[in-house]
Amino acid sequence: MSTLLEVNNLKTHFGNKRRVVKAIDGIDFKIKKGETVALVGESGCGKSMTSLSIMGLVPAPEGRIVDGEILLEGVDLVGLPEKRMYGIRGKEIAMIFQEPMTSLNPVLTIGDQLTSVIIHHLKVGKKEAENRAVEMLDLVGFSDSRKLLKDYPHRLSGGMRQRVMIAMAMSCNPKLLIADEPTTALDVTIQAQVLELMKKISKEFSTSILLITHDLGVVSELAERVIVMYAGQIVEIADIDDLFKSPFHPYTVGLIESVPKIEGEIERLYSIPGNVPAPGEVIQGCKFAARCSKVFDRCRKEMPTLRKMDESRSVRCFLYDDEEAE
Amino acid sequence: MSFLEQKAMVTEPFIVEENHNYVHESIWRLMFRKFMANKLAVIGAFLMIIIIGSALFAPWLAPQDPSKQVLLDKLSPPGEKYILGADILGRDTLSRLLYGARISLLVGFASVAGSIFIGTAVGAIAGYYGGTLDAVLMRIVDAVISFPSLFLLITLVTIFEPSVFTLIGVFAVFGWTGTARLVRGEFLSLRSSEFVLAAKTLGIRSSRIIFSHILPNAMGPIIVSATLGVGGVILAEAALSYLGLGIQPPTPSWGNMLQSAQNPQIMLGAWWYPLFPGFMILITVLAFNFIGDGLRDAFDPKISE
Ligand SMILES: Nc1ncnc2c1ncn2[C@@H]1O[C@H](COP(=O)(O)OP(=O)(O)OP(=O)(O)O)[C@@H](O)[C@H]1O
Ligand SMILES: [Mg+2]
Repeated sequence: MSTLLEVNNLKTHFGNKRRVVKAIDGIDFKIKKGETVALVGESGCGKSMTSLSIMGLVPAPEGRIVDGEILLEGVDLVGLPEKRMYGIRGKEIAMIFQEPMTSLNPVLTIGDQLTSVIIHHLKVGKKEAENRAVEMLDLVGFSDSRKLLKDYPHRLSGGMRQRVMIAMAMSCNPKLLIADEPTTALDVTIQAQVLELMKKISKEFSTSILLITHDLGVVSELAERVIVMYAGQIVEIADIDDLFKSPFHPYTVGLIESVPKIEGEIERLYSIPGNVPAPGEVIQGCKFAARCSKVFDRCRKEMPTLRKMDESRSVRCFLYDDEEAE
Repeated sequence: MSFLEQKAMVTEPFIVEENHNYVHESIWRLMFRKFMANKLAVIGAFLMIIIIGSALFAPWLAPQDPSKQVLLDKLSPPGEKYILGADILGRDTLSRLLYGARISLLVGFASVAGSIFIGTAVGAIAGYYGGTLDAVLMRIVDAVISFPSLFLLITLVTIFEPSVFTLIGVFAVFGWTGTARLVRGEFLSLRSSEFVLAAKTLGIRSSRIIFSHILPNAMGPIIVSATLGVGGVILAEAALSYLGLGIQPPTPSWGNMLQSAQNPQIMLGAWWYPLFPGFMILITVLAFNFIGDGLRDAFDPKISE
């Protein structure tokens, strides 16, 4: 399978010279065509910033991409003129968000919002755009799509709005769909519907999906590969089965442990001790060292690199360093 | 791919259509209902229709030519010949009130249209782009606010004949700052809203986001401030005319009708003379304020039914 997106040494920083918040501190990963990759990690680790960096929508002027490249089919999106980005956003890469209640414009009809995107990217007339909009709404499971076009978002439930968002994001057949916590704000039954829908989309359109979540249950439903982030860095990349069967990085182990399990009658709740480092905090050595149960001297002095273990697996931890193994 | 293939099944009906009762009540209908629930606003709107109607139809409604002077009838009290009396030059007060309404409303609406346009444009740009541009524009706002506009006006009036258009121009050029600040605030909070980010990720251009996505959401406060603004300008025009700096006679405006009553003899002897224009100013400004408050309620998303 060929590579669709390749992110190399991406660094996105906030703040000024005096105080820098390294929201993303040098990340590398690839997404293949048609593949669903999950990006997981605790709140504030830089998941949303990763997606906004890809979109070229890092909030300026406080934030900016300071280094690295983002190659979409070989074209570097970093530093691409805004004019070209208008043609890429929504057409090549689209995005859905966590809060379906607020991600539709309250004063525009569903039809207006859908057709304007279609007209902009596919350069078709109004009638044709409307037909396409109806087709998309049918696809995401609405039965009275034509009527829905004239409706305002406030009449729809959260789950319906999220489906409208998906219809909008998919309307121009993007190659990559970034879903930032798409189900977090929905209740469980609706969550399942939206996940099924995304599964269907990735299959039928062979769209690549970058799924951002902190819910490992969602990850196991949908993703083929998982990227684990901690404090702006990638700490582990693994195929889904490997990750759950034998997590390498102590942080990944902790994340999997913290999924609530019911054993017998007792519900066991585990959480990783300590807190994520404060934004802007300068840490010597491994960023996870302070919370790690397997920490040893070297971790506090040096920063481990992201080491490739085999074809599909990388980890950033001295436990898997050859020198240490000796 | 293996994981998906394992799990991939034949596409099955996967979505249970939620109960969606299509009550096609648009936002506008809802707002209309909320407006109608405010009694004072409805009274204001009713008065407004009458005032605007009489201004429009002044030539048909006026019993006399507003500038016809019958010196013998000067300061006639309200009666059969002059329903609301006659002024110091023997002109019919009712006719002058009707024609004066045209001028007062014209000045009110035109000035506010101008200042809302300038204020919205400046506020939108400042709020949407932020940064240096915002800082520069807001300093200009500060400068305009601290500008001694009354002195400029006096100077202008001494150099030029103060026409309706100079007056409108001055009100527009000095009246936009409040709107600019208001619109800037709206844009500042709306630009970081999720639906604007969503629109950006779909490739919608900045210009379109400003005009089609953010502006309609900021329309409520803008319309409210415009409505209140019209009342304010009518009051300001009256004040200027009273000082002799506004609309110049013989063109009637409510303000200069008051001014010509500026004389203790008239005030005491012909009480009806200042009463009627004063009453019209009061009623009109009140009506605009009531409507403004009603619109504020109607646009307020928090007051739902
Ligand atoms: N406007 C900003 N100014 C300064 N720092 C910011 C700003 N926006 C984000 N950051 C920093 O970027 C880091 C990453 O934020 P991001 O939103 O990507 O987290 P996240 O992983 O998506 O978290 P969540 O799960 O809560 O959505 C945060 O630690 C935050 O400190
Ligand atoms: Mg986030």
